Amino acid sequence: MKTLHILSRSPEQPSAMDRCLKFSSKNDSLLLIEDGVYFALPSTLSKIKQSLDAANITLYVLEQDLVARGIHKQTDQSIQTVTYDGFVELTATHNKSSSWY
Amino acid sequence: MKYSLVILGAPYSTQSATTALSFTEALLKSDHQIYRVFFYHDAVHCGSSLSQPPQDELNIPAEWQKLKQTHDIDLVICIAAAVKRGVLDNNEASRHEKNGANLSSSFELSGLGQLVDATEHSDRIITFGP
Amino acid sequence: MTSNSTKARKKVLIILTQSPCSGSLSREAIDYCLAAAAFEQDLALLFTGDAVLQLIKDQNPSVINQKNLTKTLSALPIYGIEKFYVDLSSLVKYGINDNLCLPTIKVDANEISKLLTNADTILNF
Repeated sequence: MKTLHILSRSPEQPSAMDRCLKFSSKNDSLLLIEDGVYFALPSTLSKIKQSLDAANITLYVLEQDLVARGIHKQTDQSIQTVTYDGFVELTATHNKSSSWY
Repeated sequence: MKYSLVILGAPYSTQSATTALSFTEALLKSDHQIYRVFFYHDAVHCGSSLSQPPQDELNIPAEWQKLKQTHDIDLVICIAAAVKRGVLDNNEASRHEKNGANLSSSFELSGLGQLVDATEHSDRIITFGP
Repeated sequence: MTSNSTKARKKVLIILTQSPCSGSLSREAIDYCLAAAAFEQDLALLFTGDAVLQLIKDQNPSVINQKNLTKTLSALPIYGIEKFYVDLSSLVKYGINDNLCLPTIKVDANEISKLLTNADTILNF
């Protein structure tokens, strides 16, 4: 019964990520899209990594949004990037989604 | 699986409508079905037939219209949210004695009951926030 | 609209995050709830972040030419909606604890996680 959390706000608007992390459950997944992909930069990722690991939350990031923003080469190698096909797949394999903004 | 999408963001103001567009295109390539796409809040502007962006920019309303024409997906715009924001079909335009209607024929103006119906009959609902 | 099932089945959680006067989204969320109640959908509302501010009783938005959301909110129980959850940490953040316009169940982060887990569908307004 895993939830896919979808986050679209940049680290400059931290309340969306704060709520997302507070309200997710163990083994849920988090997909970063739109400006949310800036959380995949090493310096911003480090601020949330502990919370993600503690709850065993798998992090994904939408490739097109990374490339658009010119940061696809700087993102942490451990983060799984997905295309829109992968985005669809994630929504199918999780039984519901919650969008945080 | 049957999917419905709820889109809240205005075209061009945020990525909401284009993220949803790309997601829909990916869904259409997959084995899943689209039950309904429901445009609410500022996303009702996706239904305007009057949008004229510069030639080197994506025409977001037109892209949604193309999907309707090629795949016949159910594109529903919340009537109350639309009329309030000046997106009207012929019925609403004459009802409110307005000079013209601007809703693209690819969309249907309807009530929130359509969104309730979509939440009940879809396996997955994705919100594309504003 | 199909007529196969007249009774709603899904447990729907509406997650509200917007303040009352910042735009139309908070009202549009409540409009959805009214429509859903008319179809007897199994609804639960979660007020978190700035959305707890929607619950403050003595609002007077007419002074900024807006309609009063609390009038509609406080009528939701009449339409059969009973599950109003409010994020305790948001209430504490804003120093609001009583004088709310709805009978609410205060929940902490763990309880909210369970609300999400137990829902069949989530809508985010």
